[in-house]
Amino acid sequence: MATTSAASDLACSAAPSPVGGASAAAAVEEEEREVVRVRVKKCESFLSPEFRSFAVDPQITSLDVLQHILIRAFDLNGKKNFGISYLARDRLGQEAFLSLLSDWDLSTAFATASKPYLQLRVDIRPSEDSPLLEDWDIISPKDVIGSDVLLADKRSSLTTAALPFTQSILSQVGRTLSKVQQVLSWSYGEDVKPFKPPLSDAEFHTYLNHEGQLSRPEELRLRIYHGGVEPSLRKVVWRYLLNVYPDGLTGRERMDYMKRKSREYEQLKSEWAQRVNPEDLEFIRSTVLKDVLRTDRAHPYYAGPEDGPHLRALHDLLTTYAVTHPQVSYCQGMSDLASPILAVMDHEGHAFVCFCGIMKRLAANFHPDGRAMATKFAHLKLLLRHADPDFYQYLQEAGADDLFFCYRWLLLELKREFAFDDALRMLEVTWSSLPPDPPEHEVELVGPPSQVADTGFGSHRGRPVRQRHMLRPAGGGSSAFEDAVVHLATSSQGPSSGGRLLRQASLDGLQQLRDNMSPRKDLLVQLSHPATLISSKSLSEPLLNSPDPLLSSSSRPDSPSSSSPPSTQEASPSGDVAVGSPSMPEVGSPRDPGKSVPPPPPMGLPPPQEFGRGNPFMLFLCLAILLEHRDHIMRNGLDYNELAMHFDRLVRKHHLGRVLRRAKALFADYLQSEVWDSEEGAEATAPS
Amino acid sequence: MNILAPVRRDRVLAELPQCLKKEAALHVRKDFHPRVTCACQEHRTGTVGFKISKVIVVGDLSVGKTCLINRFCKDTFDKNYKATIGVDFEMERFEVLGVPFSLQLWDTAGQERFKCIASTYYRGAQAIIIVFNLNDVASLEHSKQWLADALKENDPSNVLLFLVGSKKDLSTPAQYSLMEKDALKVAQEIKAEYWSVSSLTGENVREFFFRVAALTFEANVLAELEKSGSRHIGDVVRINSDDKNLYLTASKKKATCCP
Repeated sequence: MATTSAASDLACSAAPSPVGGASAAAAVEEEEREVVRVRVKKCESFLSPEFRSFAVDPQITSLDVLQHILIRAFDLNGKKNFGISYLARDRLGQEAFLSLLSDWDLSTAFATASKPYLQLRVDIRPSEDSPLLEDWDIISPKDVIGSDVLLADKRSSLTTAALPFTQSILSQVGRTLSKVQQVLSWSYGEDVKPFKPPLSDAEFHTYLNHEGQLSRPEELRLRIYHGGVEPSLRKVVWRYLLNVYPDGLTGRERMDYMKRKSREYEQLKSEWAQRVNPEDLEFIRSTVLKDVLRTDRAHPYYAGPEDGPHLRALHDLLTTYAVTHPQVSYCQGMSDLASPILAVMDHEGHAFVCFCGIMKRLAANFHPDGRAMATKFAHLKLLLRHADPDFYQYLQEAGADDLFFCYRWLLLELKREFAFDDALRMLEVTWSSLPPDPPEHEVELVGPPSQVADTGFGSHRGRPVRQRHMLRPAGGGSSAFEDAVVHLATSSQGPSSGGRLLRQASLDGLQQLRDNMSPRKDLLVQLSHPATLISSKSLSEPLLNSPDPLLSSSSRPDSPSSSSPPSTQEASPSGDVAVGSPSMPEVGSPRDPGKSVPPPPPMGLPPPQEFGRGNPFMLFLCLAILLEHRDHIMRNGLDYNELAMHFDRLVRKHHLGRVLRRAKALFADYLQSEVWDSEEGAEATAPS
Repeated sequence: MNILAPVRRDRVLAELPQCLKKEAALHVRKDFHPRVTCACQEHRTGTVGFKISKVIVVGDLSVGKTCLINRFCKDTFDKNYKATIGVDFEMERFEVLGVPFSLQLWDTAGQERFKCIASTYYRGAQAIIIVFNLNDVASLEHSKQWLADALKENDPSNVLLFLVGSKKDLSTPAQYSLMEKDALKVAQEIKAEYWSVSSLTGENVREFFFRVAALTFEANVLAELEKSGSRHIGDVVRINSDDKNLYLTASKKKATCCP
């Protein structure tokens, strides 16, 4: 067990007075066996010293763990060249700092810890590798414990900053209590629970006014972003996150609304035969059935017999969607998106309305032109290159920088990458990071009708649905997607001429989406929705106001952290060369081979409403997973195939806690930077 | 590289598994190529034992590609496996003529909307398995297109091709007989070896994959022997022109069988 918190530990560091007789001495002795308070001073050449305080359990804190704690506490990520020494008294009472080089040294340090705390000193050695850290392994189980705790505390700082002043006081008290409880009840291997508990029913009602209207949708989302939703409350709250309700409904109006939409669904379900011909219907049903029978069958809700009610509901829901949305129809993967919604709603009609809500945003992922997916791949590439140029270069040299092993992640928004219950938490956190987007009047349950032949699909003659599924683009069709990815990535990274090309490409895609997917008005409304900026600001605001030294340290412009994007455009000349050269695009920027022109500084990232096609947090989750495995990948020199196989083995096995904490930290840095490059020119609304 | 799992006893090949139909086979020799046998006995197989041979499995939506792989790799027909999105992998370890050998089976989604990324994974394949449904003529007709897509990423003379009819258990003898005639024609046309299997019953599944492993191994060793004089560590193993003779041999044999 280890925790970091300057404020609370300063209070704890005042040792109780030894006067009080045997009972006081026994209490002190008891406490010392369970927890040791540590105060650390960091010395780095010309910089002024920094201090951190935390408490550790000597029983489970090895030198590895301590090193990792220090790396996190002082934000030394990527820097391993430091020495540790501890203050000790010799027999004559003289104090001196002794080197801490082994677990044995650490045991000695704990045993002789000076009251009231163990005093450590961290000396940063510039440009020198320390043999002490030669076999440092960031993925070892011991480090994970330290990492969890420290990052958890960092996250709690975010939480504190996010709360209003009065609640902040309560939170402070609660935090102190939870730390004491952790000290007393810690057991090895137990996951540290997130500081902010899931949203409870009682707290949820504080967001509703006396008529049951939701008065603060942005605050509700922020709250869920930090702690998730209690399982029993998901049925209610997810309808807000999936933008099912129009604004301003009272409690009674919401009930009536859901009843009406459910009846509408039942009506649509009875119209399959009227909407499609028998052959097409049979094809849709058989395709849906195959996937339903193999979607989340390990979860109790879907584990029953093949003709059970829940599987039937999932099949009917997906079939109804395919029949009423012929331009999207059914595609492998949609059952993965619908499955958690149905399991939570436990009502076919309600689940269908929610599914329509999420597909309003995600239908583009399944479009045959692949444009939405191409954009997401391009943005993930940009983000990875921005966050970790060394790792990105490694992937380039391995031929894996296309990141196609992330296809399933992006298509299904990581739903299949976590165990089912973890996926529910991950989904609600991700959805809550999106701005509210309520329907103007109602969720539309029917999509546009089929297109005629000029869209590239078969006409109504024969079997249009089957043809759509089976048709392959002629000739270079299969490479069009890859060309789009490369083109978008190149344009994003290139100079202004590249930007113009990208702008044209994006506008084309936008035009096509507008024509094919929804009426012009709806799309324009979405693009200019003012809540987008409000939500982005609300996620970023707490960080700007936070007085916490840890957070301030991590967000400073000169922070050495290699997992955070730079907060300014400025970079040293050598940095320019190192970062810019390997990925300098050849096309779009011809230059004289003999002429030595410094490459332009790295471009910023797209603004939130564009990044990841409006879901930037999902990209940061992907980045967090990649970085979790970065050292393993690079240390073992995994090649293209091995890399893809590595992540395929991890399906449903990623550690939610670690991924969420890292993603949130990176996302916070991104929102704070506010140095963005819009890819849509005149349509950009973000400051930049 | 992670330490590889030990080879299971039932994955040991001491003899060359035979083809299913001589009319459509990569070759019809009853034994491994003599040079291969000799090289293995003398432990001159180079780095074949540490190589992973990439085998890709392609075909239409839900023809049963993943079922086929799972039946062999997990020896169970589990209806509850997940639908493939993008690509999935299985690694299977063999011992051929005393030499360890690995097949890396790549399972790609058949649906058109995922084909854009499937082409990326065709890269570097040493064997291509094209699966069609024995009860769906259209899926057989699409086989040639799948092959054409896969070959965009590979040198045709360096890959082994297998055409596999699946779901034999759903087929009546009469239906199967008609379909097989068409399938054999396609297999001969694309120079592939033909097999029919049932993932449900397990019929021919084990035999088929043993055949794939054996022929891929043989091709690897022959390629290794060809370039043993100028071998470079880390070079991708390539099947040399000698492999083309396999087709010629098969073709000649076919001529003999005609009358």
